[in-house]
Amino acid sequence: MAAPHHTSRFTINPVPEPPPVTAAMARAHARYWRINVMLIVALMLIGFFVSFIVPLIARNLEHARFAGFSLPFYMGAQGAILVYLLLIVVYIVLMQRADAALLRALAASATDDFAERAADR
Amino acid sequence: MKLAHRLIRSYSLYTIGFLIFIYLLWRIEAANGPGTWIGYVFLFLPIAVYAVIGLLSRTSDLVEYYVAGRRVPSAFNGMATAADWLSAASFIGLAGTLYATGYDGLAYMMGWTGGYCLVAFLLAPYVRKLARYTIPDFLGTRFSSNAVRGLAALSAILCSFVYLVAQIQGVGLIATRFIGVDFAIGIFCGLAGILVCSFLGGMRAVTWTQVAQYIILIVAFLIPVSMIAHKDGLGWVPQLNYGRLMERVESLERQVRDAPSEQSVRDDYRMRAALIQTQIDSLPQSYIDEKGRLTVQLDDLRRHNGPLREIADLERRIARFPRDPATAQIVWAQQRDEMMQRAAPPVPMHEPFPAVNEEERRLHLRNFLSLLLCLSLGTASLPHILTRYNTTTSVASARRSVGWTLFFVALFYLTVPVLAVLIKYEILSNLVGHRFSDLPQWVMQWRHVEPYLLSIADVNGDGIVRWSEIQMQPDMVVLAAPEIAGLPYVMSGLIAAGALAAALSTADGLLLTIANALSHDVYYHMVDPEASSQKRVTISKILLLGVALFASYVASLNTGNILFLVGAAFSLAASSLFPVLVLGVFWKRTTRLGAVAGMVAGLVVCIWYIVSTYPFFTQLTGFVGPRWFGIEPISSGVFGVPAGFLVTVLVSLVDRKPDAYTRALVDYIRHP
Repeated sequence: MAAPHHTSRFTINPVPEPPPVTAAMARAHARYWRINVMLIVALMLIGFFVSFIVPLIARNLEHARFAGFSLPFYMGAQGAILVYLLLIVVYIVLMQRADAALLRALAASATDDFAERAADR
Repeated sequence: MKLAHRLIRSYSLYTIGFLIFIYLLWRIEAANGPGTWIGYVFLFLPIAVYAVIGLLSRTSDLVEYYVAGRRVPSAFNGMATAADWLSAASFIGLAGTLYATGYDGLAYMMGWTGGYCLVAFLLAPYVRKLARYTIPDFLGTRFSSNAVRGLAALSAILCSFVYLVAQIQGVGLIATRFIGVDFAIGIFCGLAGILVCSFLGGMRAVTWTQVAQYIILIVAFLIPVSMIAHKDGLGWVPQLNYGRLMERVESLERQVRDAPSEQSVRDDYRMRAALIQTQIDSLPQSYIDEKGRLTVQLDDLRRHNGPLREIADLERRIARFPRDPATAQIVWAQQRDEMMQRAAPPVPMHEPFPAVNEEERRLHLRNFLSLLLCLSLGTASLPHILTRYNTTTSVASARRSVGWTLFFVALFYLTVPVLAVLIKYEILSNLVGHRFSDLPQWVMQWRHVEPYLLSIADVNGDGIVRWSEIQMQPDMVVLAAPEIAGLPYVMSGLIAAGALAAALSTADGLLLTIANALSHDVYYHMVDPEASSQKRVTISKILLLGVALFASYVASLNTGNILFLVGAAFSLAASSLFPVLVLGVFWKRTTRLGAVAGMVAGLVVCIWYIVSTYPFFTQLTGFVGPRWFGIEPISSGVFGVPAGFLVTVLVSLVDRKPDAYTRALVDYIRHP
């Protein structure tokens, strides 16, 4: 582990020193990060569609109606906001699962480490 | 969990108390009739409550002062962030913008909510993981660099300050309009209101007052809208079914567009515009003629002992008359354009991108999309919003908190278009087509008190109010909504209290962001790293006072153009902070040098575009630059953000690779 750039002169809220990472932990981290990035890309594509593609084709959709509104107006006034809210909720739920999976993987790798060390001895 | 339960109990009691308070005032008004005292009660009682909360939350502990002890439950942080977010512009302006511009106004609705997706996906969890005090602190730690820290502090202060001035002006306006004090005194009251919340307790006090302010502002918005909707037969939850009303509004809009009487009004405007045009064409002779005519008329009146009022009126017109033919050219051209605008047929609310030809329409669409993009990126990079997620208990709780924030913000934003449609319906059905002889009470009052907000004149002389004869400033839509719909005066007071809460809560968050960037990042990290924590809190409080006074001074100058500057603050924040915040976490290869270059590039491009295209600055400097792709200066972030990304990436690639510590740090940030 390389030395941190700051000395520990900050006693309150010190700059974090990343803990050492074993190979198994690094693998778990990489998996977690891949899930995260893929999830973000997928959700942001949906968000992009609602925000930018719908207004782009709004004039073609103008005569489509939804609950008394013209569809593009409804999408801008309420639909998009509800979609955004849904996207965030999906992200929160799936990431909490990913968090739990990561914790399990880390715990497993820690016991593996322990077993390895015990076997060495 | 115990803290959360305690909070739920006290804020429920508080909400019930507030509702009972409204009910009592309403009964008193029903018994004794309206009076200005209602305005006073609604403005000062909430401020007193905020002051008590601020006083109870006083602290000199560093962690409490900067991040409220990092133990705010996610839902409460969501409420506080929503109050932090909903500014005077959102509360007062947004419904009016939708009322006036229809589909165009939706760029604000979508941009200001969509930005929270970016906050949840790209920023908040990582900001919380590193657990710093401020956003410049986050960037400075990630890049282990005081240069990055300083630049980030500079842009955070720049965009927050512009925004803060607008909030204080908003407070001044509300105070002037509802209790009739002088603008400067109104600003002073606002200043006092802001300081009682933040001065003693920093982030801790601001958090708990913001929760209280959110409750007031949401109640103040939802109740009047529900009452108006109920009156129009939509039931108490109009957010779900106002489509029915929208249909009626659309058919009324069609009538207004096609009615011959409306067209005659518009023809009249067109004629006036042509008249002004002939005057402009014959400058400078017409200038001399017109001025001479006014002077002769005045002399004439004076000689014949004409009515004093007419003389005073004429004197005022002469005083306001353009200084010289060159100014006359500009002023008259403005008047002509305004007339031409009035002469244009009204645009239905739901129609996207109205334009005379295809090319104009494409330009319109391009500007709509770029404004939308700037607003969402700006939302995601405004430092006063992002720091709020530092106060949550964990990374997962920060993520949940963004969800709560959007939920509470959405409660407000889903209601905004309802109000816009309701008011448009009220005007179209209860004002248009009625006789001038029996104008409703509110028209008389607003026209008398605020002539620049509302003017109605019988242009074509048929004695009946036509849609095109009403000139209503969008800003009055929310403030006057209860009167327009004929609700009791208590509701007007309630709306004012809500607007005040929105302005105060945002001002608090901004003020704290500026003061903390100065005290923590500039003073502590760059000037005196040996300072004791006691000294740091004291310095921070002194800076807070100084910034508040300075911002009030700038606000009292009443420079105008503030609405534009608020929009520009989003572009500034997005251009300077968004690329580094995102790349710093998602691309390990980002280097210190890249971050510095990217922030400078984003800022420079953004400021350059604003200064070279915005009329206020071009008149000041005499330099007019080209408009790239016809984009409005308010959306300059469309150029600043890509420039920031591009330069950060290129410079980072040329630079040496980050060392092992930095790579480990980024890994550390990425995991909960």
